[in-house]
Amino acid sequence: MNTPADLSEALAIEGFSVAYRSGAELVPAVREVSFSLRRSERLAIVGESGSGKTTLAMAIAGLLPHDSARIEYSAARIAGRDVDMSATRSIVPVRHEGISMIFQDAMTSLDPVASIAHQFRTVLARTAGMGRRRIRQESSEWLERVGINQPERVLGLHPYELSGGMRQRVMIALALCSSPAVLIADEPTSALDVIVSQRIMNLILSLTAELGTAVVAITHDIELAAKYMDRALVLYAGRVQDICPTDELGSASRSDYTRALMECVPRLEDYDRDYLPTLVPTRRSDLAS
Amino acid sequence: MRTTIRDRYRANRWWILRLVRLPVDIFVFATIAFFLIRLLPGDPVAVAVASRNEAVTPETVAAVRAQMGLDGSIWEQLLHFWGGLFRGNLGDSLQTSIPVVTEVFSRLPSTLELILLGLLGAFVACLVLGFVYVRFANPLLRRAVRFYSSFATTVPVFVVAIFLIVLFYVVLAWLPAPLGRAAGTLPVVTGFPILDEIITGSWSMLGETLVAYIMPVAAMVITYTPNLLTQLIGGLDRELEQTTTRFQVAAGAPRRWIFVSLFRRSLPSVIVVFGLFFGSLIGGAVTIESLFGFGGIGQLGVRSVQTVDFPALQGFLIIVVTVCLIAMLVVDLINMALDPRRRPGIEEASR
Repeated sequence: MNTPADLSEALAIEGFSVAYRSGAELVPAVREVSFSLRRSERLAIVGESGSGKTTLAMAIAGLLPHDSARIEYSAARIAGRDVDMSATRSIVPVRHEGISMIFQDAMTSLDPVASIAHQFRTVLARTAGMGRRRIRQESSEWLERVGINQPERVLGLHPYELSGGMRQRVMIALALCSSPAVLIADEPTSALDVIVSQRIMNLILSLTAELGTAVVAITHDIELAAKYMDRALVLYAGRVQDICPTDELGSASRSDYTRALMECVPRLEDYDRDYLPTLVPTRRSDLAS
Repeated sequence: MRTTIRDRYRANRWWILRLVRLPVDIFVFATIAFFLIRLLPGDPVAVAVASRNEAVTPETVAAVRAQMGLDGSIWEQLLHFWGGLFRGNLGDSLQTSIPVVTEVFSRLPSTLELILLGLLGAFVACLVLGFVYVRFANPLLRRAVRFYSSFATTVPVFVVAIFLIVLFYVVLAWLPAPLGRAAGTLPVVTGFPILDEIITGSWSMLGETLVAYIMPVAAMVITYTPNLLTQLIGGLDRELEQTTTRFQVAAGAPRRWIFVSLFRRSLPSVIVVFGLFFGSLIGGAVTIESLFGFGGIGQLGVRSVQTVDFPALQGFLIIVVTVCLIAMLVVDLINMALDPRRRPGIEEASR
């Protein structure tokens, strides 16, 4: 018997590194990342394109192709239990039980050829002893929970028959109906307009709060992180620059890169700025150390 | 909500409309066949008169012409042809004086049986290899499957067939000589050899037929599997990369369902290629049929060209086209069932 599972912990990784294989070489993408999340806690992973944030998320969810990446870590736990997160030798990726993930574009995420009812059935059928009628009822209740009217009608439809916002809601319902310990959201609102994106974020947050699910939001939008998340992990070139409560992101004790990233947020008084604060050369040399 | 007949029609319109189109297509292609035949060089009347061993006078020529329905303008002939088409009468063979429809339907089933066995065998082999390809991570195994698929359209089926005959009949003598299906005749019920032998309980003939099928069916499976496999592997590789597969995994769908969805999304192009091969083999199976001493519909085509037997050739063309159209209909219906986005009138939302 190992130490008893810590029930308040949703996810923990220590010394987590991912490298992509390129011929015989290994190209590091994520280096020595450590963090832990309690139930219902919300973490934003913030960084520019190429910072390794999506690679980190995919590796945690178990979605990296088996032959293209090497994953190393000193500890990895989901819901307090040790999990083998080293890339599985399998062509079709294998989920790390307890982690669900949603993506930017719901149109390409949902199965284009299957009805909504069928897609719920595939996820809910895992719960043994659930008959067809129970599954149908459960699916319909989940559609109501994500704010879809006439759930019975929507169950019979295919993704191409739904609007973009509805598809996003269906995707969220599918990802959450197995009550995961962690929900990873990769740029959940980048494809949506401001109003819809606010509604979707609020929906994600209220549902995960009900379920006690921890949220990891992958985003380049530091404002979104500050507005909706408890803590932020700032990633640059695969390394953690900062991990802190979101309301301390702008404080003087943060790293240069984090402060530069905060300065990138456009403000009315800076309308004539012609450079990006994250690209100032002196700051780059600081990072190398 | 009550579902009216109108709603039901709307939900099923995709296959009803596709079904209604079939007779229209057949009519159009039969008419094209009618004109094509009349563009061929060679005078069937002259051939028929010469074969009569009589003195050739203008009167006998005119009489034979009228008997063959070749008198009158081409439009009168067309009307006559259409009339026959609707009554299921395509004229008599000049060579054998047997109605063309009878000739065709006595030969078509045995050809259909052979190519269905060969192509369905290839389809099953393709599914099995495709499953191996995504189920096992062993790189050697995957490379082997990929290598086999690269043989698509490189080796003709008769080369494989000859190789099999040489190996299993000449050298090893494990299989009997390629001299037809089974000795003896049996009452024709459906025309499909295996089916008739089962219905009439001719078990020893059934055994002989099955043994005779081993080599030709194996040759077709070996030759056509790579063509189907190329399509399947391409589809599987593409669909594996899709966010759909990642989301299914990440939402916690069981592996069985993930594989089913993966194949469902990858199969349409495989089924199209299956339909194309089926269509081309209706007439094209004649090479493999003659190698193994089987009779079939292709022989009728070859014979009718050699003897300028225009009613038989016309009937052969119409039947080949009809079978192809039915094959394409089945392909369309299966694909529209697999992927609802292919149904007519569905505008895909922005992807």
